[in-house]
Amino acid sequence: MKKFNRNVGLRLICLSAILTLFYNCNSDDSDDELGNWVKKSSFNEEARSSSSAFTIGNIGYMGTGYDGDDYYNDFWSYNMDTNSWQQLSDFPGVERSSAVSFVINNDGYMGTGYNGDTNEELADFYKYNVATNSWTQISDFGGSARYGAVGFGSSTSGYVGTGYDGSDKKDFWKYNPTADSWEEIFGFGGDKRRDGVTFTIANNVYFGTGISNGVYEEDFWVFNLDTEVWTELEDIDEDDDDDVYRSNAVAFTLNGKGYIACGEYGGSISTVYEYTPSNESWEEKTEFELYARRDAIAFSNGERGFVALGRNGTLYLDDNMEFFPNDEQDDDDN
Amino acid sequence: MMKKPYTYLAVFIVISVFTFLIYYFINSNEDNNKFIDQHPFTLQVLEKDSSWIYEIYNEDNLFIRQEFIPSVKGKQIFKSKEDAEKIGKLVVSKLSKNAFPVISETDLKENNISFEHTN
Repeated sequence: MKKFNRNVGLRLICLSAILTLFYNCNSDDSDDELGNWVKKSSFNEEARSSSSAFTIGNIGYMGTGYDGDDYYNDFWSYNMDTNSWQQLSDFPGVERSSAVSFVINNDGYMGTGYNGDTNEELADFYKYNVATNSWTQISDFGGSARYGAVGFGSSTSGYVGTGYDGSDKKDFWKYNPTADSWEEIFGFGGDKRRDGVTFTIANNVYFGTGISNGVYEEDFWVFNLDTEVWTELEDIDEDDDDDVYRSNAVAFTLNGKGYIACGEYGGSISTVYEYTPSNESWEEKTEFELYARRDAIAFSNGERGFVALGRNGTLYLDDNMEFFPNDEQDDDDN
Repeated sequence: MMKKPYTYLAVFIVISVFTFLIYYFINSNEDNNKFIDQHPFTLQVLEKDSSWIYEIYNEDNLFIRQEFIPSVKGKQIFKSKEDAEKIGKLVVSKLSKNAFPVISETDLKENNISFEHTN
């Protein structure tokens, strides 16, 4: 009788061991989250992070950055339709990382940032003309020289705020392209921070995440581009199931919804959250399907979204992935 | 009672074998991926509207389509097929060394590419 029991016990242990193994194998893919990441034209091995990017039409523009050894001032376009890259006119300022950029009408603007060779925060700013593939210097940023700021634009103005100038900042500045001048705008009542993100839906700019003195910021704000009024929304950690808070993430807009992806929370992370403005709610989506990463870039024309480059610790990354928020996850297209 | 250690040993061996098999399966998949990742890059130089452009393919997929001289200001075109080919080859050689395929003004000068310095 004892022997019988022992055999049954042995079988049970084996069976449970097998079941456990199979369960573990499956658990990677059995997420409830929707969304699929598809690999697109990627750079090769030696890549970079902390580049700056903006999108005009179906073309994403990316420039500057740091690869662990060197700072860069090269500038590239990514054509969403042909899935190909082109090297454009070099960014005319010194090589840098963590610059900020925005678009006013169909002009790109890029400036501020950090050059580690001279250990300097930067305030110079430049305008990129798509039609002529050329840069012109504009007035230096009105606030203190800094990096890790956020930037966004409307059809008439550009806005840059927060970041790090030796300490974390909470000031916002408005750029007037007609007068080529910067003017401080007030009304942002949130915390000082660096490495936050914004995404723009219609005339509303949503601003959140980032870090200050080791604390991940949880407040979440919307800025109306018409009225220039800041309004505080529900904190991003309001729902205990959502882990939206992070720093050094990317954000983009697809079909009227906002997305915050990847970033840093203790280490590099790959989670993705979708924000629906109509009910002010967050929903977790399929996480980024390659290496978790921070300091990546995102391109988005409102209908298509791409996340590229970045780093995981000291490993610099080259991938470029397109996100399809409503597709089923698929491992075969990474 | 002497048989008890054998029972534990048997369970241990079964679990080990399964674990080993599954790791082996996963690793062999990764090795396949690594092999595929060693992409051959190919260069094509094309004439477009009386200028020369180059395209670089990663296997069969278009990766870089360069219509203007990289790095320099403005939409300056390659004036000869040789110029486009020299820079295209340089990009491919950087890619094959796993370097970021960036062309600098120094690269252009070293290859005697004619361009206007407009800055």
